[in-house]
Formats: sequence, C-alpha cells, structure tokens
Amino acid sequence: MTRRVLIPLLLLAAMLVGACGPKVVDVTDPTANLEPAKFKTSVHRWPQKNAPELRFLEVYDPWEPMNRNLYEVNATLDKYVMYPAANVYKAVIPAPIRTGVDNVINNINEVPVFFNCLLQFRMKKAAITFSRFLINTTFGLGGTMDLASDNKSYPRQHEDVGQTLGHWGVGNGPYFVMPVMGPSNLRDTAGFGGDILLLYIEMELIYQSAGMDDATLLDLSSLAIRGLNLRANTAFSYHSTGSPFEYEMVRFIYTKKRELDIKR
Amino acid sequence: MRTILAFILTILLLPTVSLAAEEAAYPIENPYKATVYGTPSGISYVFENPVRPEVRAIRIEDRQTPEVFSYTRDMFFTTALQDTPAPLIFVIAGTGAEHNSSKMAFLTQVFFEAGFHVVALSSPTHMNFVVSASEHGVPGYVPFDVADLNRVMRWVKEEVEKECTVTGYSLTGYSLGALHSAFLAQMDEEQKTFNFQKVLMINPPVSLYRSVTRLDSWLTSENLGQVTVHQQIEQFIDRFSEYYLKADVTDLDDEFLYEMITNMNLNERDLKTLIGAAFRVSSASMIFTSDVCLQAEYLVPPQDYPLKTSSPLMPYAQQAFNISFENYLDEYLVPFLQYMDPGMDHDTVVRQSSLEAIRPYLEQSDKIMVVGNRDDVILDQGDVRFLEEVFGDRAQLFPHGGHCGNLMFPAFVQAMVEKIGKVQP
Repeated sequence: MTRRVLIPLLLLAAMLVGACGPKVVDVTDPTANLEPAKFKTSVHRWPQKNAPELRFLEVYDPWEPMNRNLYEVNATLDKYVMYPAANVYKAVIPAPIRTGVDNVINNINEVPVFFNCLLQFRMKKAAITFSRFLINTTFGLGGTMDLASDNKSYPRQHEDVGQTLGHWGVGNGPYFVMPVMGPSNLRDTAGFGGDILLLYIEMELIYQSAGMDDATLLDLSSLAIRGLNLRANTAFSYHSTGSPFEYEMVRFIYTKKRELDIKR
Repeated sequence: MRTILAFILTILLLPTVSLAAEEAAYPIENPYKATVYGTPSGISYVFENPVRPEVRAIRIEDRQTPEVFSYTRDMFFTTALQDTPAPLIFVIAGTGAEHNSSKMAFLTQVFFEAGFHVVALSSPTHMNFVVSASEHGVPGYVPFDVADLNRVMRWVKEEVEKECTVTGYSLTGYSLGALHSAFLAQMDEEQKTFNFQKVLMINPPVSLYRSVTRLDSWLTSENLGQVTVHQQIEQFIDRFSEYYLKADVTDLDDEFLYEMITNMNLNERDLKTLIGAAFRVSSASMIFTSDVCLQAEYLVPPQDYPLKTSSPLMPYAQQAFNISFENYLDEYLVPFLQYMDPGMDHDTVVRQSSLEAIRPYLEQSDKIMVVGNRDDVILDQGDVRFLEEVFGDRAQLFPHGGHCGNLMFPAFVQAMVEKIGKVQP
C-alpha cells in the first residue's frame, strides 16, 4: 500500500521540482526595444491566391486557428511541465531502470498492436508481434528486457487503431492538434481513443489476474510513468526547428508519415 | 646504382608513408557528399566525460515582440561552466543555426573538454536572435550583426562572471559564425572589453555575398535544368517516401536518416540542390521573421497585420521560399540600410560583409587562427588562396571535408583544440 502511494507522490514531486524553464536574466537597453521603424519596402512579395509553390505541403486543416492555439498551449505545457519533469526523471532514475521501464511499457503495448494486426488481416505482422510478446514476457522477465529485438527477424511493429481505420479506407479527416498529445487528425484521434480502450481492458485483466480489486492508484501512477517515459524518449521539442513555419512542417511530416505507415 | 638508391630511399621513406596511412583521413572525398553526410557516427570523435550544458535566456525589458513570435521572446543561449577558474570561450553558430543545434552542441563539448568555460550563442540570422536581441531586426549585414553579438556577449559576460572565475576570453565560430568572430575580434581591439586571447575561425566564408550566391545558384536552372526547385523537392520527398516504405525501420532517428540518405544514390546535382534548399529554408525563415518584426510590408501586406498565434502562415512560407539572397539584398536589406543612411549602396554592403574589408588586421593579428577544408563548397579558388595568403601557417586546411562535413572527425577536432590551445589545469 505504501508503495502505491509513494510512487505517484515521488512523481508529483519530480514534476514540481522540474516545473521551471531556463534561468532568465533581465537586461535593460532602450536602444534594443525593437520599435518598428517606418521603413517599408517598395517591392512586395505578398501571398498569391492558389500559389503553385510548395502546394504539396498543404494539408486539409479547416480548424487551423484553433489548432495553432492548441499547438502553443501544448508547447507551453511541454516547456514548463513535461520537458523539465522528463529531465528530472532522467536525472533521478538510473538509465538501466529507465530502459527496463521502457521495455515493460513497450511489451504491454504489443497486445493492442497484435489486435490491430489481426484487424488488418496482416498475419505476418501479427505473428511477429505475438512472438515478441511471448519471448519478452517469458525469457525477458516480464518484459523488462527486450530480447526479441536482438533477433533481426522480429522487429517491433507499429500498428494502432488509427492505422487500422486507414487500412480499411477511412480518410484522415481534418488535421487536429490534440491537447497535450499534439499532432493528429480526426481519424487518428478516434483511433487514439480506441488504443486507450484496448490498453485499459488489457490492464484491467492483468490487475484481475493478479487479484487486485481497486487499481485506481496503480492506473494513475502507470499513466504518469507512461507520460514521463514517452517524453523522455521523444527527441522532438517544440520550437526547436528555429523556423516560424514549424507548425506547417510538423503538420506535413505527421500527415505524410501516417499515410506511409498505413501503406507499410 | 640508381635502382639501389631508389630502393634505399623507398625503405627510408616507408615508415613515414605507413605512419601517414595509419592516421586515417576523413573518408568522404566528394565535398558535396561530405557537406550533406557529415561525419558518420561510427568514426566521429567520442567524448570521455560529456558535460550536461545548461540552457539560459536573456530578456530585454520593454522589447516589442509580435504576438506570433511570443514563444521566442527571450534570447536563449547555452552555458557549460567549469568548476575551477578557467578562460571562457564564446562559440557562434553558422547561418540560421541555434545555440544548441547538433554542431553547436558538439563544439560546446569540444571546448569544454579542452578546459574552457563555454558560452554558445545562436547566429544573428536565427529567428530567435532576430526577435529577441537584434537592434534593427534586419539580419545579414555583418557590421550590424556583429554589433548585436558584441552587445549580447557583454551581457553574458557580466552574468557569468558572477558565477565563476574567468581567467580570460577566447572566441570561435563556424561558417558565418567564423566570419563574425573575425569582425568581433577586430571590434574588440578598440573596445578592450574582452581582450580576446585566441580567435578560431572554423570553416569561414571569405565573402558572405560570394558564398550565399553560390548556394543560391544551385536552386536555379543553371543547376536544375528544366525542373523547378519545387518539383525537385517534391521528387526528393517521393524518393524518401519510397525508401521509408521498404525500409526495416523502428525509429526515425538520426541513424535511419543517415542510412537513408547514403543509400539513396544522390548524384552531385541532387546534393547541390539539397544544400541549396537547406540554406533557402533558413533564409526564408530569417526574411519572414524580419519582415514581421519591422512591419516592412515585404511579405505581409498591411491588412494582414498584426499576425496572431492563430494566423495561418503557409501563404507567406510559399512566397518566402522563392526569395534568393540576391533578391533579399536588393529588395530589402540595401533599401533598409539606405533608409538608415542614404549614402549606403549595394557594393558597400557586399564589401563590408567580407573578410577582405579587414584584411590588414587579419594579416598582422597573430591570435586569429583558421581550421577549414580546401574543398569547402562555399569557397572558390580565390577564397582558398585568400585564407592561405592572409593566415599562412595560422591556417590549417584539410584536403577533404566540404563545408563542416568533417567537423566531428577526430583529426579535425584535434586541429581545433591545438589551434585554440588546450587549457592547462
């Protein structure tokens, strides 16, 4: 019982400690306040209607103003909460344990992947995923070690409900920036809900077979650990491209990658 | 007799020959490939005890930041400070690069390992610098950019000296940051704020204008033929997609990208286009950022102001990508400088953004060093000759490596550390 309470508390503490951005130094210099000069160019390169250039970068995004605001909200959340918390997680928890945690989570995730392979009738992928799950759960000590990946013929598969829907011809729908989770579209957001449901059912079955009745705390701490693990293992950080057009780039890359992942 | 002599000579020469062979050279001989591929991770320099650098920020009070750029309001930079008294080295990024880009993060480790306190700064052409720290908000004119850097460095100096003992100052930078370093050194001769001990230029251009017009030329029909640059980039994306579909990939990490790009059989034209396009992407960012800060109405028509966080920016990106540096110079930068000083003209701007403008200083200043490559793609033969003539044995030029391609290669790292001088503990 104590441990159940302890873990979420520790994580909360980690998040609070981490909840600060970079150290800021204030300076005053009246010459540096960047008041717009009255300068105007005589040549204009204003946007053209239906410009052919870079048209391939365009993505159906009717909710763009809302999405852009959400993108900013996510960036701020990430800067002050998730990113610092993940840094504390990396500093406090030794690397071998973090790898173990990552392996366990990935191993649990094989189950929804397996179901999605079946739903797409991709039997080879299903077989690989099933074998991976068996190998890692048994010989990999409950999934703490990823022995299956040592064998080149068992690479980890990535299938989710969004891909399954795409496989059966469901279109992207409008681009959508999910709160906290970031880039998505209508289909993938629905799919994300499906994946969460699959995981939830899986976890309940695990708790039941372990003889636990009330697993609310465990669910919460596993959610927190999943969040920390995900952030700690994601290289992307908001506004790191140094481009004012980052939103457009991310939108294109996300959409293109999903399109290819569905084909794969 | 002759044969015997030749035989003896060969025997005598053999050890040196085999020694030279042992000290492996950077393996990529094509300069365009080197520039795109960089140093493969398997052969790049490894740090024994990498430091964890700290990201910090400077905020100028009362500075007006457009809402669309509110996320980049503070000027970010990196520090890696020693526990003991040490000299401090400023590292300045290349065109469009940030203080913690991969090359900058690598250089931070190099100079920290050599015993320096390290402060890494973004290029004045990076959008964060333009928005948060530039005095005029119009990047690309070297005297202004250097004045901005100098001011920022003085703020940083004041701050860092509160935290650790600094025994002296040195300066370095790669690519455009190298050119900035030379001008900063010259500027400091009068100001005497830093009294730089050593200044190291890594892969510098000689003339900013000549180098960028070279890069721009690769996106014109001269290089591309009948295909437009947009079609060419679309083709690249199709080829990347094709590769990704067939590849056995678990993670889209650097290793995968490296493998992909080396397996794609890119020819010289492709490589030139990629280098040119990468430069164009960063110059498009820079130009749009400047225009929004100044409300100069170059890309954004007056009725679109002010841009908000929610404003779609794709239409401006499409336009900005078409603007060559030459266009920017003629249509924006020079008119702006003329607005400030009516006596200004195109040729003056070009001349003042070249090392040629401070040639006498560079010739007589023993503290300025160069490490670079003879086949650097941003240099022409005249530029290489300039570096050799002006710097003599203060310049070490490797035969191969392209533009910063061998930056992470052990021999190059060793050359940088030798030139700047390892700090004795």
